[in-house]
Amino acid sequence: MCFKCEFYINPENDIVQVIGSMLSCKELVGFEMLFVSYFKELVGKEVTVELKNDLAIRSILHSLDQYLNIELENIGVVDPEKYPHMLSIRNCFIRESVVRHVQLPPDGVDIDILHDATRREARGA
Amino acid sequence: MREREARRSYVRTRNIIISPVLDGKKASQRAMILGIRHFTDRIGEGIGQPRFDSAEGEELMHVQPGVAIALGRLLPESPGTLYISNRRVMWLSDTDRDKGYAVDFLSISLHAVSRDPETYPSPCIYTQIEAEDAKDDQFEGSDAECPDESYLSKITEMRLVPHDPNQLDTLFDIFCQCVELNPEPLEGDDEENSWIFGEDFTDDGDQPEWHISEDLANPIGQVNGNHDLAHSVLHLQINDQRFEDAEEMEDANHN
Repeated sequence: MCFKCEFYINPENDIVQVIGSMLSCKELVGFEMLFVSYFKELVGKEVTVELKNDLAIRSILHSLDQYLNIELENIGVVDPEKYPHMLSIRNCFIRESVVRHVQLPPDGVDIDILHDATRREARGA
Repeated sequence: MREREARRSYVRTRNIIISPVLDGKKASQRAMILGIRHFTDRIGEGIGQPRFDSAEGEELMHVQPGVAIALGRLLPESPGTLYISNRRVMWLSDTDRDKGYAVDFLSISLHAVSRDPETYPSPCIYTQIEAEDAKDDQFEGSDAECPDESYLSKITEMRLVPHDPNQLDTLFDIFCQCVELNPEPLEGDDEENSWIFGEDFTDDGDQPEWHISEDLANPIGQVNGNHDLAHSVLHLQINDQRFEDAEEMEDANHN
């Protein structure tokens, strides 16, 4: 099915990845709103957005809309040799459907809440 | 910004939430063409203007005269005029009625303002295009003045260079608005489950197996003090196979 939400939590370094295939799902309105509100909490923090074309952008999350289209500011490209043309760009706007991962800042994530959410989800499966 | 806020509001009745997904449905009925294509469908005298698909609700959002277009590694073409509709971006040559390009917002993966002369000589709107036939070897492409259709379908980058660089921020904002007007089309035809959550959905006799209770929703949903978000989250009760991957996630967490 198209809805898929995966949290990967590494307890050692607290790096959290949210796998982004849920970003393109419009079916579960309430759940999507949960994600939008969750991501909105991260505005102003540094995230790494990895696109499906392998471009990874480390940047400050500037804003996002109801579809989780993402606007970034002060961007840096994780692999500047492969994508030199992105170096000159300060702000960019990314369509939700091309996002593969969003890597979240450790201090922007409440691990307990995520653990709780994923456990509930696992129990329901 | 106010308009964008209004558009994203949800239609709610007591226990039914209908999402703006209806727009997505509409989009899915349209022929979806990825990537850049030639556009020659002009109306009017002289150099003319693009014909919009008004039957499908296409409307002009913005016209920007004096814009050059650079596709992939090709040299910029000018002079031209940029027409932005609520569905696509069109660039039409000012001198050749048979020359023009169009790309749907659904194909625009990323857009940005590029001002660094070291990466590109002119300040421009830089876009990445999701192409039908994306291949890395596009960069080996020719400098042909009129790229053919198969070449166009491989192009994954497009730069729009306005004569007046002060227009860049305006164009950027219009692009943002238009991307939001074009959410991803839905897959599948299971209409009822796809966008209505009502009493029937939860009162079918089965206990909902997955429920976001208030104590979970609040810590997350209260962000920015948006009580509507938290409220709508509380309505959600899910009982189907859409979370069938959850078990492996649990495993991943323990690893």
